[in-house]
Amino acid sequence: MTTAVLPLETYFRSVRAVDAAGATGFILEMFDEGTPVQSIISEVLAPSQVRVGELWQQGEWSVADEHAATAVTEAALLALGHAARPRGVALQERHILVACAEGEWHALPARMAAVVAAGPRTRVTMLGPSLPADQLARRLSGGDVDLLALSCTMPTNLLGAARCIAAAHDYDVPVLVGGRAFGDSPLRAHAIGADSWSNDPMALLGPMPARTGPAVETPHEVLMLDAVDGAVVALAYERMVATFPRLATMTPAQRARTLEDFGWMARYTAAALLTGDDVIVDELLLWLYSLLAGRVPVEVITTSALLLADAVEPEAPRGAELLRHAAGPVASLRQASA
Amino acid sequence: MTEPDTTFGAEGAAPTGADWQLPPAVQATQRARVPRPSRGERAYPPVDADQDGAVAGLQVAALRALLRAISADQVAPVLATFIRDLGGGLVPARLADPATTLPVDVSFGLSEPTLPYADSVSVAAMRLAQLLPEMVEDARLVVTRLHGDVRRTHEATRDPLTGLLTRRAWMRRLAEADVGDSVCMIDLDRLKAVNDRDGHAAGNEVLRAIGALLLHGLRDGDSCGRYGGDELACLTPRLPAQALADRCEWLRAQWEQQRPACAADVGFSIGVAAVTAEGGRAALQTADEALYRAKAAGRGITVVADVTAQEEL
Repeated sequence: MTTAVLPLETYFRSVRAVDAAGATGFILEMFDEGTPVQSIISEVLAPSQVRVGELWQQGEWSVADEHAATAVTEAALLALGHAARPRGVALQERHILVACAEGEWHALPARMAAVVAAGPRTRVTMLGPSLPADQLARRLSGGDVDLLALSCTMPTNLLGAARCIAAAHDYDVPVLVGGRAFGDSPLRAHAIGADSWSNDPMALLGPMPARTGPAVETPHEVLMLDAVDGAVVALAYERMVATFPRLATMTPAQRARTLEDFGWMARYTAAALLTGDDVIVDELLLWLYSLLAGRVPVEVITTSALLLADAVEPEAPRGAELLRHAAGPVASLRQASA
Repeated sequence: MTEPDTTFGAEGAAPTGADWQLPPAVQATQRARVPRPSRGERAYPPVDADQDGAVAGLQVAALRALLRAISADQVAPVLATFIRDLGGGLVPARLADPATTLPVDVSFGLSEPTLPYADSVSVAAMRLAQLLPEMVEDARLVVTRLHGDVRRTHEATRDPLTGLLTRRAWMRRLAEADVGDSVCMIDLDRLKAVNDRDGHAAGNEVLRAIGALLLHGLRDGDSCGRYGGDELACLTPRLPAQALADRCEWLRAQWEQQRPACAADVGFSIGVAAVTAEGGRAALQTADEALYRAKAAGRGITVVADVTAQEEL
């Protein structure tokens, strides 16, 4: 008995072989055979990209591999968008600007949304990755945009998203946000002033959201943690080395990565404070736990969080509280596994 | 003047079994050069950096160069020039330092993944973060449109069944034929019987197999087209008629070994002619007459026409 090969498997063979022409040909063939654009994206392109991320996380692929594979899917997606573009002249009733939040370099989810949103009566302009809020403001000042669709995949870019939303609201343009950074509910989106939230790009085909999002003041503590001072991070690092003396033998590169990880923790904490969603810090520590499992003892992760909490406490007491609180569940994982 | 290329069967850069197991970035490294023009080499003229609005001038110059790109591989050098003008540089992603690079691949999958870099606390880093994302997006749009053009041209000029040129596209190639080139007409013997006996799907399978044989069995610069329902034609630049006839016999031998089961009775009759000063169309007419003689002589043979005398292979 033979087993039919799933489209995702066939497509991923081309991705793995960096065969952009083969991948594009396969996707266009699916489209020509009548598979809806949305299905091609949700059943082939998006899962393929998830698999790329998994291979990176498992350490099988490097960041360079991820770039090479992503370029294949970007080429296939853009060709699909080109092929599916409505032909003929129609009155375009609305103009949607699709952008990635300031600092957000993962543009593929936004590109997928842009392809889904394009229709005979909808003009879609994709602005690419990491759009600075002032550049966005300049683009919106033309007054020809009906909706900003803003994508954000990393919680650390939620502050950048808040700046983009504020820029759009300055021109009275409503904002629909989506992406992994916003989680599974509208909580984070509303906390940073978005008018609407959805993780389904089909939402862009529905009615335009009203301009209802609140104006948001960014607390000083959030700004401090988002751009955490190098001296604060260095203090936490020194205390960590004192706690785990064998870490003193780290190479300069390992030291740089460790300092970078402290910076990430601080920025995730800033995102949690900004959105009022403590889970963001919990998720980071659990993610680090799964990423470093077998290589770094769990107490290094929990202790790092506690030491960073001590270091930021004078200027960010609420952030320190969040970090201490998040260390608990990770520590309990260690007890459970023991 | 270059030597005539009479080599056949050159393999493309298809991945081998071993390549299949390599990580994507390594494969990309092996297959393509990083698109980095050397220092001093520019994709568009320099802009006076002392002028007011120099950065805006850089953007205009880069966008103008993107608009004028006629192939996708001209786009990456434009971006490389723009990045250098802003004070940055390019580095292969496999060697990149996350602290100094922007995580945006400017190779567009055409070569090894390549990232822009600049000192993280420099004006260059600030300018790159500010200006590069939209420029990369514009460049991506240009690459997509150029790829779309290539694809549409391919679809318009290739017979979807055989993968060979359409009659119109092949005739355009024929119009450029020159003395020293050769043409052949190939007629598929007994294809109709396959259609009648096994259905059109089987007939299509035969045509696909013959198309693949011709595409792989002739040189890269040769042009093969589907001239009619079961008539195919080839133009081989700088190849004498007898050499083409020899190649046709080789193709016939390959066909007899590889043909699909439903094509057991299907063979070729072939007429070959050299292109003379009278041009490609006259040579095609001569090849067609040679083909007629091949069919009259019992099919399954190649006949070479000569301007002075006609001899049978």
